[in-house]
Amino acid sequence: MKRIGSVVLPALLVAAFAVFVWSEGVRELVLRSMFPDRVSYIYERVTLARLLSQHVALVGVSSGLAAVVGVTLGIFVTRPIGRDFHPIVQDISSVAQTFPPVAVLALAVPAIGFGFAPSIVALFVYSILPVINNTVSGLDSVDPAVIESSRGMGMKRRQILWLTELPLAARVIVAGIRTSLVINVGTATVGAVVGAGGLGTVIVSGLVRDNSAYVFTGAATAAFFAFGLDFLIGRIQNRLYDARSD
Amino acid sequence: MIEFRNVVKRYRGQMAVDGISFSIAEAEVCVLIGPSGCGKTTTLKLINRMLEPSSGEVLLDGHPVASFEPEELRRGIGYVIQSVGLFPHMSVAENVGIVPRLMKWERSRREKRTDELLELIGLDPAQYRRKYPSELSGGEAQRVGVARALAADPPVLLMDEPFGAVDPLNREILQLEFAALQRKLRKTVVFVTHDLDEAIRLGDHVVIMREGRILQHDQPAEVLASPANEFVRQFVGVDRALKRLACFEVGDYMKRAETITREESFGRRNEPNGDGGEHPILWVTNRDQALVGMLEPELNPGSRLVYRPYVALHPDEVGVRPAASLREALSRILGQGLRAAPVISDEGRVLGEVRLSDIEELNQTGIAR
Repeated sequence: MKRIGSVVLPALLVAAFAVFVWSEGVRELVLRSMFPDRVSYIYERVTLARLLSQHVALVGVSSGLAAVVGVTLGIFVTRPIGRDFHPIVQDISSVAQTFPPVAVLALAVPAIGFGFAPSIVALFVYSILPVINNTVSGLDSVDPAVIESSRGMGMKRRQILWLTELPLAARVIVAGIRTSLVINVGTATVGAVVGAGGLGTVIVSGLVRDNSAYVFTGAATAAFFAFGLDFLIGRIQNRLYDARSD
Repeated sequence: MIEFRNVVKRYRGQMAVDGISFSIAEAEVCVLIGPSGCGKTTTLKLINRMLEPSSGEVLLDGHPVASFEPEELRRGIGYVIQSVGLFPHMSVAENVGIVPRLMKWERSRREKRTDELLELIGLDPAQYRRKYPSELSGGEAQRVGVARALAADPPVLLMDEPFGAVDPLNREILQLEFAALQRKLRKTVVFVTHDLDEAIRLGDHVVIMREGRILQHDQPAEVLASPANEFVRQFVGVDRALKRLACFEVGDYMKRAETITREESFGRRNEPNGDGGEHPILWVTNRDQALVGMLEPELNPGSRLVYRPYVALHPDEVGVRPAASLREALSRILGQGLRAAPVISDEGRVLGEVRLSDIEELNQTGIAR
């Protein structure tokens, strides 16, 4: 029974999703049954697979950058040299998180302009915050006695970071990356408004032409993508050390 | 092996260690003891450079510790930390193998060494290797902490209240195990505790500290017999005479015991007392020379020596082993209301006896000085 929940069911869902994205015939059949009497069911300018890959690129590049830069910054402010920046970074990141993601994107356009690159920048700026936040709190929550013990065993600073601190904080850090990714999948749909492509394109087009089949196509694909990522990272997280299990 | 020369350590204007000089010989257990804030843990941490002295120097094998790379130095010194300090995200095997890993031993050598150590501390490797610290009992975690410290076979072991977090019963078991281990391994051990009984039980030497200074550095029996000042006298307590008995082994004070068989004992109730003096207890043994009972002479014999009726005894209730302390022997003697306790082997054979009069004499000569 356990395998059905953890392996078979997800595999079936992924297969259904792939068919929905790549086979226009199947997709039209599905949409026609849900939304009868529409003029068109298939967005004809770009294929859904292409929009999805643009979306993956938007999310992948922005969140990848956010993860690398965010974790690095988080490590920096918890080292002796970066300690002074610790409160500033925490304040900024907690205030900035109160902005809605759409507002961040809207503010980015006049500053950076339209297209793929500015969308990446906007998504990066917004999604780096949970990463920094979680990295800092993950590293801060490592028991000082364990760090002292690492020192006592003869670990160098770098070894303490890699062998003790990061493994102990990994679960919390990955949780931050997970949040950042899931937010980005949603936020990236808004990127279509500023010409970044992605699944938002078909949603916007559906809204303009009053075609709910289009809106559903984009929204469902983005939602499935978000769920899939969340599920995958959740699985990774479960393999990491959990402080609560002690 | 380890020498402190005029070592001072100040923390933010506070004097933690105030100019101490002493040395610790190879293969001895030196216990640093004192009330909290006396500087005992600070002293310990100055040895492996977890802390640096404000002035003075610490020598290891004749070399100033400041001349070593701190990390290299620490890998060469076993360290057992207060509240265990095991790595919660690493298995028992990974914890024990951490120093060899830092020293870049090959995996196969590391694994062999880990299993060897788990066996040494009495944990079955097959069963414990893959467990995580959260799955261990307090006593098991402490044992793993000791195994980890021993991993790279360092000549020096620093132990900072290693058994402090364990309940009294398990603490005693761990102490006895450690004492047995130390007899085998003969490391130079610096041991910090605030438990006087632990210090007496384990220490070859005891260093009593207060406010960063050493008040007395001596063998435990000496400290108990003649405290250096009023503070030490109070610290060791009014029952120091009794505590001191814990420093002596039964085997060293054992006298020859009179044994007879059960058959021989039948006629021994009433016989002439040639010299009119006191007579020893007759320990009655069976064919295998195991203790089964005794004949106790009446006190104050006159011209006739009168034995009380035969009393059956259980060896484990009245007897002590040669490795036990005189304190334990005294407790047996008082518990049975006798003048002596039989010393027995593991098989229950009578090896000799410890007499109350000898314990009294030892006590008077020691404390009087």
